[in-house]
Amino acid sequence: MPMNVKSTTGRRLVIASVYLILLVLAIPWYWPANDNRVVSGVPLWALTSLAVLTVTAAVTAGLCLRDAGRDD
Amino acid sequence: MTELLPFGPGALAFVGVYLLSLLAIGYAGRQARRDDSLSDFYLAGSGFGLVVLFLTLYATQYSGNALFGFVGAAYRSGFGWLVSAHFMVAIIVFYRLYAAPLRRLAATHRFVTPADYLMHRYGSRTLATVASLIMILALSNYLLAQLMTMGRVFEGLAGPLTGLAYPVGVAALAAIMLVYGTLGGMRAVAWTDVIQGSVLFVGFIAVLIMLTLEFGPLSAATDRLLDAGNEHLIRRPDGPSLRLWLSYILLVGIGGALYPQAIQRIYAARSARTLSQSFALMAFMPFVTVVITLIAGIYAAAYLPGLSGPESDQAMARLLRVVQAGSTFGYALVALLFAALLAALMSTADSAMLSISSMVTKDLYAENRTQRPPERVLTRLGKRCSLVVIVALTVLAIALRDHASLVALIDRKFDVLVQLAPAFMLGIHWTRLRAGPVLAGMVIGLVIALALAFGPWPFVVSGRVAGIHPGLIGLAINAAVAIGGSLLGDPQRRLPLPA
Repeated sequence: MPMNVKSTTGRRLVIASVYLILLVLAIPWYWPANDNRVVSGVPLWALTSLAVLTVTAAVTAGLCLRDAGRDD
Repeated sequence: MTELLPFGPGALAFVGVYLLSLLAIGYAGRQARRDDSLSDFYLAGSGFGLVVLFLTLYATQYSGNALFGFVGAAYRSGFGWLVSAHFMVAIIVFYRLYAAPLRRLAATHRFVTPADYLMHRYGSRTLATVASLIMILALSNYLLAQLMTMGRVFEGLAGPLTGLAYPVGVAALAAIMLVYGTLGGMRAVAWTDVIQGSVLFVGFIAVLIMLTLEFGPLSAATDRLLDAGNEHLIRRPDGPSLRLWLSYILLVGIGGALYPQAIQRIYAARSARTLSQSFALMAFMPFVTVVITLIAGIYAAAYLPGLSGPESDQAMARLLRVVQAGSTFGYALVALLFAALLAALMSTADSAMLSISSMVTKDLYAENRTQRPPERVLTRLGKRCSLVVIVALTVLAIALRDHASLVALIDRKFDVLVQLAPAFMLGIHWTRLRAGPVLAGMVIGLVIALALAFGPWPFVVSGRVAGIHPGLIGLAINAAVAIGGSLLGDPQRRLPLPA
């Protein structure tokens, strides 16, 4: 297998793993079910999920911009 | 008109000028056409730059459902509807899987419809036709949801005064959309999307401002919900709801990235760089759109309790009526937001209308004839097709007035659309994927998804199996058939990947 194919596959695996971790963290399964703590009107579990969403959006935008730098 | 909408002459003039400007843009789009080809009418010729592409993607992706259906869903589910922001970002993640190589192919081979790619990749007219039928089915559902929302916008603002608001809202906006869409095709739709996307963006910010001014901070709304014993709207979702989160993120993420009208915008990008930059911007749009609709739903649940069923989809309109009565500034904001609502609805509906018409005309009619009619004839036929589609769905939207929740309609659309994922997302990367197994998987997946969704199964609750949408179950079997069938076939029969 050529080296560039290996590195492309490796990079895709890393990206897929990052998204998988973000997906696991985005869904608040790990938060206590009866927690009523609220910060500025937003439940703490929702703030955590929003923070993960922000990272996901930033990672995605970064990858898109990297694609843009390589295209055409 | 003043009997239907509680607006004075100034606000009505503002909305009227906005709607007339859409017709003017439709005419300008017609004047700017280069020829009467399908490519010019449905893809606007040489392609869109960053600003137009981003705004047309934004206006198309964030529909009337985003404003009304999502506020209604947040009203019913509370902060649990935060999942909507996750699945809107997931759409961009899944776009990235296939959009760039698809655009390169489209530029080389001058694709017009999504099925053109399938025909090029798999060489099977049957597969391309079945895929087109699936997309037409899903988009008709989507267009129907937009038309029903148009009626509910009018109904919600008019209140109980008249029963005419719903049918008038559906018919009037459908007619305007039909005129500018058939005059200028994709060029007019994308140009109107620039206005509609801008108005929509400002409108979402206006929602946040007006809710804060009218009701106070979000913390007061949350406290009010807790005081009223509505902890279920504040607490994290329970086990079954968490499975539903996972299901929504995958279903809408995959299905939303396969909207036929969005695929045609991928074709219409001026360059791959423009496309990637547009997606980078789109990744952040959920924060200034669906997160705001979530907040609006929380305010509505706190201050306007008691709405249930399809009535809860009017939560946003009810909020507007309260704000409008509060102050002159609130009145002005509601007029602006009303224009934004119309923008959200029409920008999505016009794209769906155009996409359906292109697929019926090219994929179902022209490509299946022994002698292909001239492009000018096909373009004219496409316009007539738009007319028939809009009239039929307008009648259906009026007939179904009180029969379906907007979110339920969205669910079925994605159950259908995700069955295209192996053909597009896998096929563009994997040379061994073959037409026969892809077609078999697509049909089997679709049958399973629809049978589970509409059959009388005791294990299907609220249209889902253990919190998982039927479309995802169908997709799992679909992908297994496509991959397994391709692996069992002749390993030498690899199709060339995009250059």
